[in-house]
Amino acid sequence: MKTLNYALLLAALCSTSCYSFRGSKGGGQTTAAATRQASADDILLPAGYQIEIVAEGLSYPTALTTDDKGGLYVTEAGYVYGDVFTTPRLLRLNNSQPEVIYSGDKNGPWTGVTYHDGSFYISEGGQTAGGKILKVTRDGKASVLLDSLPGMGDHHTNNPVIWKDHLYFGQGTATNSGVVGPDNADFGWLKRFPTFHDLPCEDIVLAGVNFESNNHLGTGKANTGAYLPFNTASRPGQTIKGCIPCSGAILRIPLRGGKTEVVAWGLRNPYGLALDRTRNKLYVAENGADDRGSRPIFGAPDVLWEVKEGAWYGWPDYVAGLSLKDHKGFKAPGSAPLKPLLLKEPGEVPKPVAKLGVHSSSNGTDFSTSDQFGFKGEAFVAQFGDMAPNVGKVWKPVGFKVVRVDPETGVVTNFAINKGKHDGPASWHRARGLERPVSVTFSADGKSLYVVDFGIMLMRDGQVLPQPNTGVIWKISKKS
Amino acid sequence: MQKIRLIIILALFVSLQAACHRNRTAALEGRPVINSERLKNGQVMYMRYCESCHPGGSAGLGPGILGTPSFLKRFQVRHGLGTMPAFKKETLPKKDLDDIILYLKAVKKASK
Repeated sequence: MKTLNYALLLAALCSTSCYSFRGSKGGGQTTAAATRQASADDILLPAGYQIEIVAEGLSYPTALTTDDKGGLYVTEAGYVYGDVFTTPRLLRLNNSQPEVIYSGDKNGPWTGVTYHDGSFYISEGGQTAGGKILKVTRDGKASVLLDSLPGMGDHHTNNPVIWKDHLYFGQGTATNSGVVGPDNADFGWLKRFPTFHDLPCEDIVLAGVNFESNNHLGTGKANTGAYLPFNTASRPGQTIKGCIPCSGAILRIPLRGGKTEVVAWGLRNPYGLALDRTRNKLYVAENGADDRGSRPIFGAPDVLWEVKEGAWYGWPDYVAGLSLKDHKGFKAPGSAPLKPLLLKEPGEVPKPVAKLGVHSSSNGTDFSTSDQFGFKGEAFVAQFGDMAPNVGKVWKPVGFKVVRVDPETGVVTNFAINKGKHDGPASWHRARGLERPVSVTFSADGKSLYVVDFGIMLMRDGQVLPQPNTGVIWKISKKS
Repeated sequence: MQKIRLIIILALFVSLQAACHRNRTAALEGRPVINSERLKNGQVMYMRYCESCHPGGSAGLGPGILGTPSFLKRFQVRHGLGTMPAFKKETLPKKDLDDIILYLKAVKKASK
């Protein structure tokens, strides 16, 4: 009887809560073959909608835009996590073969593109030379509107949106949660840029919290403070001067040229910037913090925010509007309690419009403007999917779908998902549907939603393994 | 000892329920229909406090919860369990927790 009790106790412990004992079952953690044969048959949509393949065989596509004649254009990233470099390209999707409009430098990822008044505006991520905003004409002549953006780290220069005669874009942070650490060596950039770190948009005063790690740039141990280079300690009360451009912000420049301005800051990776033409407001899907590095954060949701001019959104001391010091649930298992990095908070943090799945990588976003398509006024968000276990463990795959969000209520509802018992990419299901949706764009008439599907990215033995030539462009529309 | 065994069996039952597969198409089909103020509030509160770790009631960062008995859900919300934090009454008042439970019952019924 005693043996039975112990057996039951062990079974209960192993199967229920013990996070430390449990493995991770992320969407990239599969032994599936790294090839792809896409089919709309394996995707579920609400009744009355249909999905079809527009293009396939692309390498790391990230964004789509349309010109004034309805032509479709796609960016291929040119850089992928796993420290993989290829050539970033702007392609026109023709019936037979994509046509290369422009090939860029080895400075990706190209994260976004928009078309305006005869030209394409591209956000060049900046992994080797800093982020840039490029302007490319229809016949492939390129010029640089803005450069030297702090995009050499974990997160990059993102997704341009043109509004009110300005070009708005997101600038992601260098680090996960404010401190350069061993995880940044794993990303590959720490050795390339050993003094790179996050840059605040306004003067900040540090609490003087430092983090010890192995010294990935030398021998022995390193001691690193927030907003400082690796192995540089901070002091309590130390001021870090604000600067423009800064990291973790939404910035803008006048289309005709002029000063770069901060719109909002304190955003970790403001990737999915989108204009809601119904409400005439700007929104952004932000990727929340990961359970990694010198200051891991557990359970941080991705967030859809309304962009409020002048606001500070809380990074690195808040997650989804909640302060890390007051909410113990964000402490990563096995790690020290989280202490604020800033002595004084730069402002009052807004409340999220919606909270999205932890590790879902909620990325490119667009709003429905059409009663014909439906869900007018709702945000559609492409969820790239988890990169577990590198970002932290998950119980089951998170993301790998398109969701819609009602900005009035914060209600998140599935819109395009793979058939099967759980969320997860087609490769995980051994099926042929969505892999990693990275962005969505409505057609100019609002009747179709294009889904840019990045393709297969496996997570094996700590390595990030993106697979070229597996990207797909899908088109969703109402059945006639 | 009988009591302990009962608790352990219950914990196993919960974990098996969490592993049970649910029909994922209900939300695509517009179910459950949110046709009362309590369901509406429950849905909004669920999105605010629960959705990010348990998307649609299914597993994500945390396990699926549709199969967990309501009394256990309440216990876990108020006391936390493992890596799940507790949500006290100051953060999540009883009325809102009641509405979340009602909403989850509707989601579970719709997903059968």
